[in-house]
Amino acid sequence: MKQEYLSTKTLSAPVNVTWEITGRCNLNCRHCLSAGTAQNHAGDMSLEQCRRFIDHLDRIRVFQVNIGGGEPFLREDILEILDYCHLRGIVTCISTNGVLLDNELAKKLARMPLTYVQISIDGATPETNDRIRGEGSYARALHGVDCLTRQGLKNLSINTVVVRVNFKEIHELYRLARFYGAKTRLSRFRPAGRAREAWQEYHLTKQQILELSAYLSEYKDVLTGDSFFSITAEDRKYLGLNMCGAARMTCCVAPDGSVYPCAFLQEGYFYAGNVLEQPLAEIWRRADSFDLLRNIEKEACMACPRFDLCHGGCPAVAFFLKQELNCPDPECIRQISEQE
Amino acid sequence: MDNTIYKLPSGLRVRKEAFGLLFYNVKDTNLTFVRVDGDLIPDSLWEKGLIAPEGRGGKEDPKYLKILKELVKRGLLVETRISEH
Repeated sequence: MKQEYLSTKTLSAPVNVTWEITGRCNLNCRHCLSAGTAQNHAGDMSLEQCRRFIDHLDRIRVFQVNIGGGEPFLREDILEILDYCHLRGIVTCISTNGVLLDNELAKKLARMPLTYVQISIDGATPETNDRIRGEGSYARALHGVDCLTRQGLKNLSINTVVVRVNFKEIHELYRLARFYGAKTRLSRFRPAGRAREAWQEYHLTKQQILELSAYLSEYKDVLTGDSFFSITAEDRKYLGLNMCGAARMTCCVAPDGSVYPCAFLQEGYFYAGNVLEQPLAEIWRRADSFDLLRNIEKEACMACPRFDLCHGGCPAVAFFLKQELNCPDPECIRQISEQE
Repeated sequence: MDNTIYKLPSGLRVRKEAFGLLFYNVKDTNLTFVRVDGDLIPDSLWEKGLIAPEGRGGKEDPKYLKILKELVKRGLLVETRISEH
């Protein structure tokens, strides 16, 4: 019902909104999707602008806001923003590098039942992680995990962008997360933002993609936060969304209020409007770039027996690697399997 | 005299969509799509999280009651009896 509906119709509003709440960051990760995107952001929205935006999200009944950036905890008013969301019953999922987390902040977060926290760690060892995320970032992120665990935060996950250089450590990362009582979330590496420069060095080999798919089949408690459709095996079909949610269930709001179909498509070509100038509900209904995403027809995929599983995969990967949207996900597991 | 009210269970949110109802569970962020005639459901469900008998004139409409019972069966509504004195 869900897939059938979403592939043909439009929801009245996004179910969740990815909100890059600040463009500032205290790390300089090599695969950052947000660095170097189309907008030279005019600056972050003010607290008052954020409140008005949250009021609107409440009115149009957005259920969840995924707060990222930049590093959200660089905003001094971040707790006020979270509180304001929660007062309206909106769930917040914060994606952080964990560097600024200490016991005091962790204690406040642990008292927020509607908050989920996701800390990024990209290697099971300091050597691997710091090579990607910067010197000392592993120890500081792990300290953040430790603080949140000690303070009893329930909804904690460790997120890893799977790349060639950390691939062999995925299971160790899984064990690390379990040690802290956290969930493991794996994200696909996509050539957006600064990651374009690192693509050749970091993207998974075909063999690694096959192995990753097998791993996900074995460890079904591993979350895949974004578009794993093209590399997901049949047995994980019902664990999550199996089609791209951009402009269908979700969209992305940049620090300056600019709206895009997803965080990986923050390109001028996909600009949909700005929430400081136009209500998000209107942008959602009327933006040409959203219509474009909703009407993608990947003809090459339609006869594929896996089409119901992935609907052609991630448009962002296709766009950045092939410069078009209507082509199959270049990391499609079926194509890879046939080639191997 | 007893009246029946239907409430959203703790942690569930709902909104009306063209296909019917879209539920969201804050405890696991899972979504549930329910295809029903959303116009049969009173606005009080999304506005206050409950449906009271007086909330809709057609309370006795079997189609409406069937929807409510089905939602209760799926754990998307809770049926509660309240006494009127």
